Amino acid sequence: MSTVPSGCGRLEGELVELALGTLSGTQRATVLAHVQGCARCREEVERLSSVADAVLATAPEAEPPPGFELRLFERMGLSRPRHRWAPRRRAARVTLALGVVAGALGAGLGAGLSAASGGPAALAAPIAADLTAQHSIRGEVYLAAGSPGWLFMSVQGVGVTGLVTCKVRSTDGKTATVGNFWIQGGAGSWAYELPVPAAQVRSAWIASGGVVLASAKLNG
Amino acid sequence: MTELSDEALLAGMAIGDETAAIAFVRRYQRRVYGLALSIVGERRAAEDVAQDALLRVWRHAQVFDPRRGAAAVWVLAITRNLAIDAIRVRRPTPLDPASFLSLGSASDEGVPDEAAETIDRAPEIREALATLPPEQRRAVMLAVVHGLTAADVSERESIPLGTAKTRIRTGLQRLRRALEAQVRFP
Ligand SMILES: [Zn+2]
Repeated sequence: MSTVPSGCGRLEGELVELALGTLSGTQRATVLAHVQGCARCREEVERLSSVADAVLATAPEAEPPPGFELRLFERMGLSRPRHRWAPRRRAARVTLALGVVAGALGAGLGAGLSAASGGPAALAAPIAADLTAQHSIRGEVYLAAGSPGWLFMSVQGVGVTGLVTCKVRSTDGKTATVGNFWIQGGAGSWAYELPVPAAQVRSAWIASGGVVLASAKLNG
Repeated sequence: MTELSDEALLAGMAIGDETAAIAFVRRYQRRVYGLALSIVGERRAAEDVAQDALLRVWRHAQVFDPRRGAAAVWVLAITRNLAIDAIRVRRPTPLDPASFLSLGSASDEGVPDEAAETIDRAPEIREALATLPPEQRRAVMLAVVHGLTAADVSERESIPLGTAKTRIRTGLQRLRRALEAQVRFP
């Protein structure tokens, strides 16, 4: 690397402005060129940035105007009201499970599957099992065969709010992660692509922080 | 189970989880709106900025990198930048930063518990800010919060450019020393 044209001392003020993002284009390019080749100045800029971030975090809070949230959620495209999973007869739930899979396909998540199989209507009958914890039913798991296969899971009453990991174990004893899902108030439902063929899944479970919350035996 | 961290909520948002998005908005809307309001100084414009900022967080949650800093820093920086853009369009001179400098707790209702962790350095910074000479504090706030260049600060405060630069730099360096005495920087 070539020697820097300006000494570090002459750049002190510019380093501050670089950290604050207030340099104009040309100045910024000049100072950046120096900083990229100078560890001392780079560190200085990082420290000044940290201070600026901390100052910004002292901003006062204020109550947004009425309707702020609703307008925002609408712009974010969030569905509302959020309907909770209501237990029904199994047949109805299988239909719903496939409906969710179809929805996911419609959203472009499984283009390969819909092209190969002529759409979700051509999916094989799903494999279903109860999801249990301590011998109580906590929801259901459905597997839909296909390439890829799909997993649908609904959970309630597992007593956590947060991200949980869903995993499956296949006939060869290997474990694979299906995905990370959100549970609110102990309940949630999802559909995701299976990382292994549906027919090979022997069990599925959700865990949080290494603790298994509920599990299901399948194909057995 | 304990409340999810900001970072976990952002991870949820990155995979399109609406529940995570709702929780994140509810946790941050008062801070985002408060920052926007203290920069743009007008409720209608502050709402636009706050909405745009939270919308941006939702759409770009997957680019958030927790190794590069706290979620709060990221969200507030997005808000600040949008607010600065808004006032550049709307008016040449920003609001007086005095509102931002009121050193007490900003809201009567206080900070929700789940947000407390992410801003736990705010009291230390407020304390450190309070020890700065007023002209240094003003210069720092104008530069950091309102995005003014040293030249802008010099014009606004009717001081030479060199003085403006010195005030900003010295103010930041003092804050840094005050913070480093309290918590070591990573
Ligand atoms: Zn240097």
